Parts: sequence; structure tokens; C-alpha cells
Amino acid sequence: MSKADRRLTRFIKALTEDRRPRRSPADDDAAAMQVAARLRAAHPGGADPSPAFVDRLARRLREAEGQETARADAGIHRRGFLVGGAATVAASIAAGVGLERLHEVLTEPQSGAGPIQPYISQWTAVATLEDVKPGKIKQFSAGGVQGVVFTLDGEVRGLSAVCTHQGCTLVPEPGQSRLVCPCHPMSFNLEGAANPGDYRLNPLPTIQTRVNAGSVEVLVPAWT
Amino acid sequence: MAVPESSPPLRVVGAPDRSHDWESVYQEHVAPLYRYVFSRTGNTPDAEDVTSTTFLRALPRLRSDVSPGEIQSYLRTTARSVLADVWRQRHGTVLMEFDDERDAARPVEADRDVDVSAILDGLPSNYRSVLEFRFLRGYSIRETAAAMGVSVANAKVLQLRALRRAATTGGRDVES
Repeated sequence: MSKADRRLTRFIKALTEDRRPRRSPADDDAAAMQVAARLRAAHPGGADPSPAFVDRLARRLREAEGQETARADAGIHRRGFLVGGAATVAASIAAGVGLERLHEVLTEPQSGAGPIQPYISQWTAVATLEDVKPGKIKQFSAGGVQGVVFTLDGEVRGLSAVCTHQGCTLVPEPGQSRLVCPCHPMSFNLEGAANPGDYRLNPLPTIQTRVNAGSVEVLVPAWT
Repeated sequence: MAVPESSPPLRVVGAPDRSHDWESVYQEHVAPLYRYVFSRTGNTPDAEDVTSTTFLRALPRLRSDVSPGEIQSYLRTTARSVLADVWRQRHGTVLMEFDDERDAARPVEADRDVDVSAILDGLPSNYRSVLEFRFLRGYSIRETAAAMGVSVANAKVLQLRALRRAATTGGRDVES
């Protein structure tokens, strides 16, 4: 068998096992590979989306839509704050705003929470089901994303593990129900919300997760 | 499998509830688009990723008040560009077909059953058999070899030759 034969054989094998084919040059076999995909789609019942997928995507779209609406609602205020952060502080001082109010301006949660939506993304395996047994938290770094995966309410979930205060990497607490910041006395619960304290922090962005063939996969940027 | 039960909100003509419109558009188009994408990727993980990326990119457009035909064609065009990204990234190629505008114009229903007779017709019978066993029935190489009464090594070679032959005889241009 030639190299091209072996590549095409692997491609066919991946499709017939319903796996993502691995990266390999197509060379002269691009059309043959495409025919293979067409044939595979004719496999009885093979080409329909699973109801679970349809629901999951609807949820993602709803979340994306929600953020969009929130941004539109807060448009003017948000732009003013983001563009002129320093100017806002200066103006607040000049206007004689009390320190308490200034603290609020500086620590007001901004949008940015919600799921991480990479422009070009791919599902990447980062843990086994064993790693995310209830009570366990698995740290990972994939596609430029630092995160954790775990099980909560019977569902595998993912959260960014980057503190929304100054970007330190959060560590799972020994008790395994909180993510603790090593830089300051702050922590986040497994819903991603900052535990009440001196600072009002943004919640942690969530990370899309799914279980595929016994592996926990996360949706992260396709890092080439 | 059918699209899961859903009850898209009824639209009152002239007074559309814009905020929820995209959900009914989504429910209507997700399965046909997925089938289209699956027939270009041939596996579930890729089909799910490409479908998701397509809808996320197309979401702002789904909100606007355009005709179902325009939405379908917009989704197809978006999906083709996502598919082209995937193929370029993974196999270093963009297939001719992704530039084929006719795909975008085809009616949604045309993808309900993927018609592969155009691929299989005209192939020698042993080529046709090996493709039917491997792809349509999902037989392993070993099972295919047994069903065809040939050695495993033969079946392996046969599937490659059959696929390459099919690719030169209309497999790239299947019109139902």
C-alpha cells in the first residue's frame, strides 16, 4: 500500500466509525474523500442531528442572543466606560464623587460572562469521566484556554480558570467545591459566581462541554 | 430521527415578535442544514461543529425579517465557508464543490434523503458492493470481505479503487 492508500484507508475508517478524520494532506484524493462523506451520509439514520445536539445548540444560541441583547441595552454606558475608563475615574473625582461610589465604578461587573465562543473552534478532549466524578475538579489548558471541568447537578460543566480580577490562574480548593485565587483572598463557586467579599467581580466565563466516547471534551479555539 | 418536538410561536402578520423569531427559524432549518453538512463531512463530531459554527455566525441574520428562501441560502453559503475552512485546515484543500452556487439554491427537502445512486450507478458491481457494505451498511472491512467472499487485503484495496473510481464518475456532482 502506498502512503496515499494508507491515508485514504484511515480516512474511510474514521468515517465508518463516526470519528473526526485526522489531519492529513488530501493530495489527489480530495474528491474520493468527498465521495466517502456523501456515501456515509446515506447510511440509514446517519445524517440526522440528535435531539440532544439540537437542544444544546439552541441553548448556545439563546445564550449568545442574550449577551447581544444585554450589550445593546447597555450600549451607551458600556462604551463610555470601556473607552474612557481612566477619564471616567478622573471625572468622578473632579465631580466630587464619594470614594464609595468610585469603588463601585471601578469594580462594577461588566458583561463578558457567558460561554466562551471562539471564532473557529474545535472540541478537544481534556479529561476522562473518571477525572470529573462528583467532587473532583480537573484542570486543563487547551487551545489557549485555561479551564476546569467537573460535574455539577449531574451535568459535566466547564469554567474558565482565570480570575476575572487580575488574571491569576484559579486553583481548585482542597474541598473541591470552590476555585480559589492565589493572588487575593477571593474565590468563585462552581456556578462561576464570585463569592461575596470586598470585590465585585465578573462571573467566570463558562466553557461548552460534552461527553464523547468516554472523554470529556471542551469547545476551545482551533489552535493551528 | 425527526427534529425534536417544538412549538414555534405563531406569528401574527404585521406584528412579529422579533425577539423570539430566530428560534422558530432555527428549529425549521437546523435538521436540513445538519444533513447538508453531514453529507460534506461524513461524521457526527464534524457535522455538529460545523452546524454550530454556522448558526452562531448566522445568528444576527436570523433575527432580521428575510424570506425563508433567503435564510436557507444564507445558511448554506455560511456553512460552505465553514466547511472550506475545515477542509483547508485539515486536508490542505478546498473542494471545487464548495464554490458551487447551485447547492445554495437547492430546495431544503432535496437533502432529506441523500441520493447516492448517481455515485453508485455505473460502477462495476464489485466496486458498488464494497461501497454499499462499507458505507451504507456500516460493515467492517472483515465483515465486508466475508460478505463478498474475498480476502481482507482484497477488500481493503477494493474499497480504495471503488472510491477513486466513483470520484471520477460523477461523485463530485450529485444532483437529486
